[in-house]
Amino acid sequence: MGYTNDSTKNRTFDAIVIGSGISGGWAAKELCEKGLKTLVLERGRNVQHIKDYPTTNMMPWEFKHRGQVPVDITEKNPVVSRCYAFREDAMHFFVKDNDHPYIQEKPFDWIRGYQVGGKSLLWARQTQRWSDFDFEGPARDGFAVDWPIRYKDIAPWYSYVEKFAGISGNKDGLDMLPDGEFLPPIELNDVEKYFKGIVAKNYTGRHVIYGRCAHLTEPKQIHFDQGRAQCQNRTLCQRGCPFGGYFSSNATTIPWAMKTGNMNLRPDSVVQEIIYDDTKNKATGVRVIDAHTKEVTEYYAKIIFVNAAALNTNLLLLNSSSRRFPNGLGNDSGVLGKYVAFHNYRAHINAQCDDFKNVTTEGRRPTSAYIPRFRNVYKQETDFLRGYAAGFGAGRYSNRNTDGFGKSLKEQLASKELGPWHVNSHMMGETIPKETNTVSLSKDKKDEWGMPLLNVNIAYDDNDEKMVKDFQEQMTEMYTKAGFTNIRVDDSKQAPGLDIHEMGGARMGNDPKTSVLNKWNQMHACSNVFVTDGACMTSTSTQNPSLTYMALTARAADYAVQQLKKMEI
Amino acid sequence: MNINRRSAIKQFIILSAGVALLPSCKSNKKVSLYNNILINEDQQAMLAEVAETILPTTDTPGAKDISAHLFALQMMNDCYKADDREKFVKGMQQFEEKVQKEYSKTFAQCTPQERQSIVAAAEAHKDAKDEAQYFYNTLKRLTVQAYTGSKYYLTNIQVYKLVPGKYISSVAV
Repeated sequence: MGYTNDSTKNRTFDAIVIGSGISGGWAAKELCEKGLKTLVLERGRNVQHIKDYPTTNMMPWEFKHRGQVPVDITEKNPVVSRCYAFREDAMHFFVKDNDHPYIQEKPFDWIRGYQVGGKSLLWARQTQRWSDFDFEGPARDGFAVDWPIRYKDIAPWYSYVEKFAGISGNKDGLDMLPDGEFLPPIELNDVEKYFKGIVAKNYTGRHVIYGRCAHLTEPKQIHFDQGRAQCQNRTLCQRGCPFGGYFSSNATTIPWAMKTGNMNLRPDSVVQEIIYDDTKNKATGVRVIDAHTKEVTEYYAKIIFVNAAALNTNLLLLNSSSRRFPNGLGNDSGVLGKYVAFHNYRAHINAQCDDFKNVTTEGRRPTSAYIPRFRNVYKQETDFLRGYAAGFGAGRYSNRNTDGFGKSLKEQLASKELGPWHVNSHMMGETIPKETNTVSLSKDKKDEWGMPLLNVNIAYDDNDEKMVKDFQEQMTEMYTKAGFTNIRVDDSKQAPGLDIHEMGGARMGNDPKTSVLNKWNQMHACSNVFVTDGACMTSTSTQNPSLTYMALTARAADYAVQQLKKMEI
Repeated sequence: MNINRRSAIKQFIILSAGVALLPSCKSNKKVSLYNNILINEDQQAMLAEVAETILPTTDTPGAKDISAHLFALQMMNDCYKADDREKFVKGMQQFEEKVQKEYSKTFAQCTPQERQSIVAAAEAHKDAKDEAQYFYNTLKRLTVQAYTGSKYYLTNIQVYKLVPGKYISSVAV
């Protein structure tokens, strides 16, 4: 393209990170801290902490539609409109369906956040560690491939990221959900404690605990150094937090990386492909198209971290073809884009608790109780594989009687009288990665940045159906033992994707013939490319995955820099 | 913050403009603020009076004070599907006609007692499926939402804390 040498030099870095979400932010922080000149490419616009949170301090009555999304938007964007957080206060952080089309071979709600910080602004902030019951799952139960790592490999990295991110939790001493480096928990309320007791009394191996979350309940110096402050229990997290009370790339890793002076953050940069050099046998850089001007530029680096979010990472790798890799970068095995999995969030169970009339709660909290997986943990015991974790919460609200009109209605609306306690729970089921759950490139349709559209072909299976039923049955039994009344179970039948936990496609594994990445998240076949977002996941377990992405990223970055120093890559 | 203030001011101007139109309720001029619903100034004035009958001004603010009918119209215009908007407008016309037939005047011209009887009758039929009932039920729901979501309500009645700062897991009631 006739670039001058100077220009090439200006476009050459030690490392390139593709994506600035929860894992990309960590890659940026780690690589910059280790002294690498790092280019961070983000396809969306810049979102700076606090400055770019336009709704963060708005009162409910300041929203023209009191939070509701206007119908012209929901009708044009049916997919994103199904997301619980797509509301008037945060809709500017979500990708609209029409702006970034994809092909649903089967129904799949692909929820995306294209901006600096990605979905880390919007996540539910639940941070539960994996255990060996999770890492050993595929090998024990005979699906996918064996994870190339075990809990001991990642445990120190969990600790490392937890200390920096700030995780609130209780040391519960459970082998299926290892304890971490915790800031103080928020106490469970009376009904939750009661349910915890009932479950403990009636079952072995079932536990109701405080849901560990990425909130600063009692910040330490490291968090003040990041410019963050204590969580103020606003529970308006999806707007972006002016206190930095929860972990996001925007509040935490990105400004930290910026402070090193080693980061070059380039928003509005859509990476079209990773450039592979057949003579050097490695990736040399990336080709970027500017989201607005459509100008194409190449950037070069010694190592590349791919953190574009699970499905977009698959898209990018599949679109990076070369003579050496005609079917996508690092895809010697042919598994790239296959064995995609997700979490089954379909079932809910709600009920009423008629006791505890003399107590309530005050204020708000950013988490609730959590029930770690209890099915098939120590051995296979049901007719389905694996199991589910569950969220659990209890709360009490004002009775708002809207009958009648006039003065009496006004008086009713002013009543402070409380209704009964309500309890609710939802499942978080492990799904089994299958060769038939795939993403692939459209052969004829492209977006306006020249990228092939993504075909998504992902569905539930019988195992998932059985698990929905089992959750409903087991939770009904537990609720019944607790004496809860008016028990209502529900199967939302929501499409895969709405869980926003899509994973896999470029899985880790020991064998290059059946996996894309090794135990360091490094491509078997292209040693200077690392994938540390959801695409790397061999299986899904039940835990919210972000904490594991953070730990894997920090671990991989440490390894990559060591290898770089040893001139091994 | 700037953006917030700007949008708040903008909203205030829209609301004031709506209020300013009210006194001229003799005309049948279409109100152009709402691009998705066909409504004239008389009808808008009627909505204000129905809302005020549902939540009257007492020693505390009522529906008119918080422009509940304008919020209802805004929501109807922006957040309801075309079918529902049509049903609402049709129901509003039927409601008007019913009042006209029974009292030979408009709702706005009725005495407070007459207005209360009309609303009481609508309340008595709240499970009916006709369009006039849909109109009334929807207007009531939006009036209640306007009130319970208003600055007045959320700073005086059930106080909303933007920054609670804490969660107390057990409080005696």
